[in-house]
Amino acid sequence: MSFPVVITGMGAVTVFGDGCTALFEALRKGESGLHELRGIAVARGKNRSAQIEDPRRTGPWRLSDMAVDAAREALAQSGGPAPGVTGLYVGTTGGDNRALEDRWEDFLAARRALAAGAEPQVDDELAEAMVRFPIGVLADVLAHRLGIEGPRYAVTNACASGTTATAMALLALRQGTVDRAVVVGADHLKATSYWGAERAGFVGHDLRPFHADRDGSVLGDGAGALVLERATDVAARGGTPLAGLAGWAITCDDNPHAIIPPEDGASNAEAVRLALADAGLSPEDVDYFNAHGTGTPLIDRLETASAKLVFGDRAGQVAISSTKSIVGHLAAASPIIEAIATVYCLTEQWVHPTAKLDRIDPALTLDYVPLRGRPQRIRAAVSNSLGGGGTNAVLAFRPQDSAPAAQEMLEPVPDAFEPVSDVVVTGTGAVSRLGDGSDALEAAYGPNAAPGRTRPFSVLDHIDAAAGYQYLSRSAQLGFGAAAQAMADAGLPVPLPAEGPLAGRRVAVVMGTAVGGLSAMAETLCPHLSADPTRITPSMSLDHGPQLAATLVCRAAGVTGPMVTLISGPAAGLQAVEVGRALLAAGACDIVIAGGGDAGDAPTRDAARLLASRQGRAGEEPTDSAACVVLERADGARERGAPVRAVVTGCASWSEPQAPDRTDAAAGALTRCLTAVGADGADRPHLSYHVGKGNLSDTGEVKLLASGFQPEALGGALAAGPLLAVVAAVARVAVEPGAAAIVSTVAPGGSAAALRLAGPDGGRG
Amino acid sequence: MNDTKDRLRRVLVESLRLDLAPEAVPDTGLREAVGIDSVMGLEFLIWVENEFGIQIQDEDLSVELVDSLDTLAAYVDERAAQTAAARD
Repeated sequence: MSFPVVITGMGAVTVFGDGCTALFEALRKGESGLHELRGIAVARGKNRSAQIEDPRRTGPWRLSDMAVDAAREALAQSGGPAPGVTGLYVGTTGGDNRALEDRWEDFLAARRALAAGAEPQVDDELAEAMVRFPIGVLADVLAHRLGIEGPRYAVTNACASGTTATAMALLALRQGTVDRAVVVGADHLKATSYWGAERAGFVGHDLRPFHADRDGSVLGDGAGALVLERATDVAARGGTPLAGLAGWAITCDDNPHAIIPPEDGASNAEAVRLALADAGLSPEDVDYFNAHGTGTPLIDRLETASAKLVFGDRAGQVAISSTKSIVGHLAAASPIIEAIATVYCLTEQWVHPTAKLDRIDPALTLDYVPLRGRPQRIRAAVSNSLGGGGTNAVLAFRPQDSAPAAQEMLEPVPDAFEPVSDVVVTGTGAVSRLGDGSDALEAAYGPNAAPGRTRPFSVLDHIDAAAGYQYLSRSAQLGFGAAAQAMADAGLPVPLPAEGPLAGRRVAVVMGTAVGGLSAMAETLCPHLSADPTRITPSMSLDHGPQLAATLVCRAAGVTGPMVTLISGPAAGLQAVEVGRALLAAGACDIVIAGGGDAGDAPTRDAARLLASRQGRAGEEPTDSAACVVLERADGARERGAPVRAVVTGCASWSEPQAPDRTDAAAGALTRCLTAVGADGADRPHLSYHVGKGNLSDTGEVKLLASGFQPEALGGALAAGPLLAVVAAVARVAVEPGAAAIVSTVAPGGSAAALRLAGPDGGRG
Repeated sequence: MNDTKDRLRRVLVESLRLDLAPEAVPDTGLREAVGIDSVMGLEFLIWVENEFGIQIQDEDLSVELVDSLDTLAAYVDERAAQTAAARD
């Protein structure tokens, strides 16, 4: 059983100024807010932007300021404080990492000094820029400044990130993991994103979606925020819903190319159909389609094809408009701004126009609402998002004041959430400095475990060179390597069949990372930006997206189900399992490939060393690492004869509002996670696998025994660390009758996560 | 001209990471033979710009330009001559 979810607060910071009111006025006028690009060398005359030029919004931390203000506006409107648990879901592609990119030469100078044994010059701002370079730290900064305690997730799926974050929040509200969700999407224009996108042919001279002369998108700055709650809770507290968030879906492109989406729109159409089905709506109910609407020739054709596939003969009667034509392309912020625009249109029963559309591409034949908005009955609306790397993410909305809908909204949505049987682990994979595979982790039980690798990890051990994976970001290769092992261990064919019980569309990939390929991307692009940006080629940025580990798994294995990349620091690997369980519980898939990985590349290693030496402590050396588990519902796994290695009886994460540079353990958060997952086995001892700081003696009812597993043996495994511990613990509980284990971790920024495993017999011995 | 084509063959193989000897790159029908999509076309052309120190005009920067080595070599030689003339 599941409960309808409603939007109760919205906040926006855009080129039109602070606040949703400024945004709504701009939508009404239907005029583009684009202006001249500033502060970045112009490529090929593409000199437009939607940058925010407010003099108050300057300085290295302007993005988090914008995100905080958007969230405050949304929270104020929602009228909290809400009772219960508040979750924070942040979607971003760049977070605050521009601060370090802008100072890359200083960073390089400090690294050279470090290598030469000299005293590195690291001022406070440069140190903070290193701390905030992993983009998920934006979530920690927001939680700290807003005082939000509870589950906290940073999501990155390129330009669909805001929608992915919203979908996860919707799922968590339905399943009762949280009682209120604050969803934030935020990004600002950086030289790396502008040049990376321009080189790949994505940036145009103007932003004119669906126009005959369109030639690309125009990027800008922005932050958007939503507050979501269950309709029943809002009614009980006398709050005012703005609209119903009725459904979600995420699919991965069925496509051989890693980045360019297929023009036929079929994978996108599948996401729209699934979102409508999830909402209990049919395509006939939809009157408004808020497009991704980038103004790139291909994506506009793709969305048109998608709308025709979904709506069939009715496609010409569904109003379509592009919010980006007015506010610009704001990367991960755009989906939230577009959700807000959609809610506004639903509330007003009016459709905002597509700006500048004075000559529609004759090849595009639908109703794009050119130039002027118009009153329109909207019974339901969808907002569509695409993310480079294969993500299609769709949200379905219903108006709040339509009487029949309002009536239905108080009824549980049928079939949206079935009580789930146990979730089991059917396969594991590991890449660590101890070697490849679960067996290599046995060395971590020794008192003096030494690096056991005889040669570095090679992705070519897992896929043919013709696939080209060896050219992509190291962190993506590592994640893929662990996933390939786990799939083989689970007896899954690669590629998966298109139909049948193991169909690729019924499989989800959820990957966690702390840094992803963003360190490699900055290391590649930043020196060119200061020397000669025209030497930047498309692959320099396209090869390094932090979402690429998931993309590589999907491409190689033929997965077309939900794909999510979490970038919430060292806890992200465990959170991948947590989100994977939620997807299984929601019936969104039958199998989840949940992994995590990070590369010990030069910028990541050097930043860790510089920060450690500045704080006068020894730091862990970041090292190439990845881990993966295949998760399935127990009944499904048994049905297909899969090897059941362990049962995941619980997985939870929790974060206290702490500054991101605080590395002391969040004791309260850790205790809360341990208690949550340990409730199932309160009467018995658990082998303990703990990664990171933290005192495990203060764990209330949960009994823990030393497992002997020494996470220090893994080196600095970042997001893979806790998941490597899971892989080791699975191997242990699989062979010890009646054994159970708890894997836990704490991370900077006040975060903690824990997972409980029982043996294949359910730990009953 | 032949020198330009040889350099283009080498740059094509290197930029697109082709598992192919440069001599094996055909003169015509490259898009079909090598399977060059729009992003690959841009990758190759930006490598060409860097290799020859030229700037390809916006309106020419498309996958159409990379279909024939003769056409591309003629274009590159012309741009290189213009660039050299502009420097004098």
